[in-house]
Amino acid sequence: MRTGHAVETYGRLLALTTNPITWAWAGALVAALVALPWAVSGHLLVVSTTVLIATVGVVGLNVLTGTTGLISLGQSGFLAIGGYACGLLIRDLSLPTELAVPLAGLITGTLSLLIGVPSLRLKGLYLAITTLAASLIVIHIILYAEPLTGGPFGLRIPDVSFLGLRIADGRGMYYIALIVAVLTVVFVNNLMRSRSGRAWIALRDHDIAAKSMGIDLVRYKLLSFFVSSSIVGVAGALMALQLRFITADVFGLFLSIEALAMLLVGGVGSVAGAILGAAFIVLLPEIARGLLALVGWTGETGSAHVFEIRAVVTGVLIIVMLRIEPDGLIGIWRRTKRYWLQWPLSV
Amino acid sequence: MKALTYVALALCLGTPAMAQTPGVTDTEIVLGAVLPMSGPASFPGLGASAGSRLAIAEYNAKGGIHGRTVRMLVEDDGYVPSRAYQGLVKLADDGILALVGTSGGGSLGAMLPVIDEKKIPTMVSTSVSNAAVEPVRPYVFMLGADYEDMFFAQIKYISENDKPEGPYAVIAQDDDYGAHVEAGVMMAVEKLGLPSVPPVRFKRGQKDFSAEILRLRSQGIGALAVGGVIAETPGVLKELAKLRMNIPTAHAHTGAIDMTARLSAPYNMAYYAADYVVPIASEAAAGFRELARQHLGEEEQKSLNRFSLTGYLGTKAVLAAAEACGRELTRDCLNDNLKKIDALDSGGLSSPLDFTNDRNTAAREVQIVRVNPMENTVEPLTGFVSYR
Repeated sequence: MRTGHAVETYGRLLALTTNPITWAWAGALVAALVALPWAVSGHLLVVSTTVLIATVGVVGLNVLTGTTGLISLGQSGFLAIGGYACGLLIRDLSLPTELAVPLAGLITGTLSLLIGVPSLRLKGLYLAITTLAASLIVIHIILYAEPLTGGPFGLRIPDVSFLGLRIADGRGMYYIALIVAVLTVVFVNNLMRSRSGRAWIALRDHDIAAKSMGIDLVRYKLLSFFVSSSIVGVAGALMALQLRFITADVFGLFLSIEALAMLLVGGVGSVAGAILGAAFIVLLPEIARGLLALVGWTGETGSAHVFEIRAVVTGVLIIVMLRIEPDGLIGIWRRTKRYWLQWPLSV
Repeated sequence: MKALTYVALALCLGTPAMAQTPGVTDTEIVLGAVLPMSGPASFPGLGASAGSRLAIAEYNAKGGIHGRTVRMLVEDDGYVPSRAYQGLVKLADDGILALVGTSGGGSLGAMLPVIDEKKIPTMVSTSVSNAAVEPVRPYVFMLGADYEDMFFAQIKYISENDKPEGPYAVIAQDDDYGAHVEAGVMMAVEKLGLPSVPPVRFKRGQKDFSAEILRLRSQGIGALAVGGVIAETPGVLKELAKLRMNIPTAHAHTGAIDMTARLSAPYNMAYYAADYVVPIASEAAAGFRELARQHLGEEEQKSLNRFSLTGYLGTKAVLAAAEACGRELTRDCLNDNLKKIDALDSGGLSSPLDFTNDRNTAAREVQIVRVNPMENTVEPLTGFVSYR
């Protein structure tokens, strides 16, 4: 029986996983994700692509909020910067998409430092409001910089390719999102095992204690802002590629709330939790649709109630989820895993 | 026997071609709509959906279209462009012949790449958008006057009838709709040689306009165009009433809907609005209301508003074009017949529908109305006039 805890070296302690079975499962999951476009309809493919894009964004937010403990409501602004940066780099500078997407992330990360610097002295709700205000400023600038961004008329992105995959093709866009999501998850998981990752966790748990142990608060807080926003910017770029048309409306403030909900539902501070949360929240409307279809409410009857009920069911499922499992989906996953690992001795 | 074989062969060859037209079977035609059906801004979607269903019910009551019954699938986008995109992909998967409901401008923008990719015949009837017809596509048709025309018409009317002494002003929300309103007012100011003050923009969703109206008062304005949707009209009127600024104000078509009039009633100010369909409570729409009583349920009747008229007319045009195709209904045939519509009877709900122009757009003629919120009346002041 494997205990899953006893390790003898620091190297093994820091390894992504010490268990080859975990690697096998991860490989199987990626293989299943690669095969998915051949098994689902166009609509489910679009929803799956959205799950992957949301995964990138929430994993990015998790670096700042889950790992470093800095609450941000500015995700919609960072997504907008990434989306517009990517769109403009492709449309106006004709940069290849393979370059435009990472550059959009870097631009977002760099601009986030403007918010990060004044936020160094702020924590909790104060920081949340500061980042919210920053995202409002971003949306304002986009609307008023009409010659550059198209202002209220939006920005149209031509049909381009990324590593030979066309963004206008559903499967192509899915694989682009999958590649970026896998790279992001691997990158962030590795980052968590590095000195920076441990410093962020120390900051989150007790910043004064962390400082007394020699961790440079300014440096690591700004680094967290930069890394998190860069990843969120990449998610924004993917959103722009998926929709091929962006306006300020696409990056409404509700996106920031939704991103936090994904993190809470999935489990704060865990990369796996961020993935589960993103999948759960994006798939919820489809789950609600399926549940209502079971009782024959499909929206074809002309009754508007079905749409309102669908929205209410979505909200209720989130509340129930947080009520029965405050640790989020990752809590359920960990308990289930522990149960099977210890079976038949599990209680 | 040989003849029978040829007939069977012809049927076999013919059937796949028919089956390839999405949303068309031997017994059924399926239309689709992506509309805001939930949330606080659902009234256009609920209204438009009811209007489209009425047009469909009218055709089905007559035996459908060449023996095929018509039905409609609706996806809710909640005014979120990314959800509109997902909704349209779902409709395309389910199989629709044409799209007859297209939500707001942002949502339409997000749907256009899919419409272009799949060449879905589309009737833009919920919200007028230049993006739909610039460039003109052979499969995208639109119903309605530009916001520019609606405000040009009202400023012209005010300048000829109210003859205000002060300069003209415009206050509009900071989105594509507001930009069109601003452009219409500025076009009128320029063409008619009227005095004006710089346009004022406000954040969409803003409720308090005290600072903006105070500033405009200090500029001594004589008339004001308001580029808001619903709550902005009473919001501006409240400030004007508070400051005793009894000036003529111009509003978009949403100014004439019941909800806006009821919210504006406490401020005792009548105002102008413009639309390309008649007021739903007017005598001209009596036949439409009667039709709705016959074919729609109680819940849908309650949701009727001016968007029901546009949804009804847009869907009616699509169904008329489908009918002209006969049994051999394909998307190409539908597009061709839509393009040929040059004087479809709108039953007096708008000017006759004509899609033969270079923008594939019908009902571009504007009617100016006077809204009296105190008495909850909407009085047409002009007929449908073209400002192009």
